[in-house]
Amino acid sequence: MISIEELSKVFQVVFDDDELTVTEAYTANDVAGWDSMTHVLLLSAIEEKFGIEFNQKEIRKFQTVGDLLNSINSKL
Amino acid sequence: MNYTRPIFILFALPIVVLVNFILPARFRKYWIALLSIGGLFLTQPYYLIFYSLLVGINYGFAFLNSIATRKELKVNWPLILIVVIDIGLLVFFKWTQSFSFPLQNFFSVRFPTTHEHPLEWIFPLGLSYTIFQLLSYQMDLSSEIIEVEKDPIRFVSYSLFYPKMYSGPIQRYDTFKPGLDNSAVNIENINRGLRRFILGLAKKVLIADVLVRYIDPVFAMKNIAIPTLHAWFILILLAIQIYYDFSGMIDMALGLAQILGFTLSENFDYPYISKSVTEFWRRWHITLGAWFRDYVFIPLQFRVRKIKGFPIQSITVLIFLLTGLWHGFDNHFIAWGLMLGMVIAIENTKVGKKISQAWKPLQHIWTLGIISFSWLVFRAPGLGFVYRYLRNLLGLQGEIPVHPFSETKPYPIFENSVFIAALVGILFAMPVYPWLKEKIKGFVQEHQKWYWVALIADSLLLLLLLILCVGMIVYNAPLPGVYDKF
Repeated sequence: MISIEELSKVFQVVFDDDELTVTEAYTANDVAGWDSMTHVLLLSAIEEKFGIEFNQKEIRKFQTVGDLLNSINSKL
Repeated sequence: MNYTRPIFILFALPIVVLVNFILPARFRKYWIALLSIGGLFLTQPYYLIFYSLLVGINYGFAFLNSIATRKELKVNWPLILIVVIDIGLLVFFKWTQSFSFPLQNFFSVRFPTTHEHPLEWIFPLGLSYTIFQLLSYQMDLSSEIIEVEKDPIRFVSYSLFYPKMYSGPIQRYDTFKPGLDNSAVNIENINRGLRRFILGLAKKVLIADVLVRYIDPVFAMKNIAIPTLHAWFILILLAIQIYYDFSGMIDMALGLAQILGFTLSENFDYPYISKSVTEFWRRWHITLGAWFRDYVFIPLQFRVRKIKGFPIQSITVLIFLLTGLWHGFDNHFIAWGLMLGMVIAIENTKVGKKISQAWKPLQHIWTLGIISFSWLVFRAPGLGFVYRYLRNLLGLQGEIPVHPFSETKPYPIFENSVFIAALVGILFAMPVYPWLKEKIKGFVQEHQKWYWVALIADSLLLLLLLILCVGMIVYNAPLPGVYDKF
C-alpha cells in the first residue's frame, strides 16, 4: 500500500514543485501544469517509481488522484 | 431547417417550446427523436436514408463491441470494424466535398442543382460532429466508461440531436445520458435557454454577419490588390467574425438544448484572452480538442512512452494535421493544421517555455498574431491566395484597381455599423459579460428596490436584441454559419 504522501512526491518531481501536495479528491484542474502533455509523463513516472504497469483501458477511467491511487494499490 | 431562419425563430421555436413544455414525460423520448429526424428532413431529406443506415449500423455494432469488451477478446474486431466504417464514410464525404467527386447518384439520391454547380455533392449536415460523436461512443464502450444504449429511439436522439447538427458541440454519450434519463424541462431552463439562444443569435447576426459582408468580397477576389491598411483591418475583422459566428451558433445550440432539458458541453471559454496558442486551443472548439486529446493524443503518447528519445511533439503536429483534415482535405486546411501543430509543439519545448516567461502583453501579441494569421490560412480559398494576401499586408500588392470588387460589387466603404460591430465584438470577446452580470447581481442584492428595474431592463434589452436580429435576418436574409459545413 502506498500513501497519498508517497504519490505526492512523484507529482512534485513531475511538476517540478517541491511544495505540491495532492489529495484524493484532486483532478487535473487542481494542479497547475497537469495537461495532456504532462499526463503521460506523470503516468510513466508512477509506473517506474512503483514498478507497475497501467493499460490503455484503465487510464481512460482515471478522474481523480484517488482513482489513480486505488489503481496503483491494486497492482502492488 | 437552420435556426437562424425567420421561420424557425418566429414559428417553429415557439411551437417547440410549448409542445416540449406540456408533453407528458413518457412521450419525451419520441418527441426528441422526432425533432431530430424532422429537423434533418426539413434540411436535407435526401440524406435521411444515409443517416438511418449510419445510426443503425452504429447501434448494432455497439452491441457486438460491448460483447467483445466484456469477453476481453485480445482484438476487439467489432470496434476496429466500426471505426473503419465511420472514418471511411467521413473521409469519403470530405473527399467529395474537397475535390468535387464525380459520382452523383451513389445512394440513389437526387441532389439539388444550380447553374453554377451542376450536380455537386452536398455534404451531409453535421456529419463531422455526428461521426465523431459515434466514434467517441464506440470507444467509450470499449473502455467500459459507458454501457450500451439498448433503446433505439434514445440512440437516434443522441446521434442526430437536432441542436448540435449545425455547429456541434461534439457531445459524449455520458454527458448526454442524464438529459435522456431525466430531462430537466422547467420554466427556469426554458428561460435560460431562450436567453442564451437570443444572445447567440445576436452574436451571429449583429456582429459576425455584419462583418462577413466586408470580408467575403475580399476573399472572393482572384488577384487581390487592396490598400495595406484595408488588408490589416480585414484580418482583424476576420478573427472577430469567425469567433462570433461559431460561438454564436454554439450558444444557440446550447440554448435550444437547455430548452429541451439537455445540458450540452461548452465549446468556448473566451479564447482570445489566451497567453499562448496552446492555451487558445484549450479555450477554442473545446469539444474537438478534447476528442483528439482523449482518443488519439493520450493513447498514442501512452503507447510510445517507453521508447527512449521518441519525439513526443511529433504527436502534437500529427493531432493538428488531423484537426485540419477534420475541416476538409483542401491544402489550406492541411497547412492551417500543420502550422498550429508546429507552433504548439514549439511552445511546449524548453525554448517555448521562455515565451511563457515573457512580458504578458508580448504573450498576447504572439498569440493573437499567430491566431489571426491562422484564420487567414483557414478562410482563404487556397494557399496561392494566402501568398497574395501576405503581399497586400506588406504593401507589395502593386497597382490597386479603382473598382477591385468589379462593377456589380463596388468597393466597400466601411460603414459605421462595421466599426460598432467590431468594437462591441472586441469588448465582449473578453469576459466583460459575466463580470457585468456579477456586478449588477451584487448591486441588486444590496439594493432590493432595484430588483424589478433590473429585471425589466434586462428583459427589455433581450427583447430589443431579438427584434433587431429578426429585423436584420428578414432584411438581409440569413447567412449560413462558418461551421455549418463540417
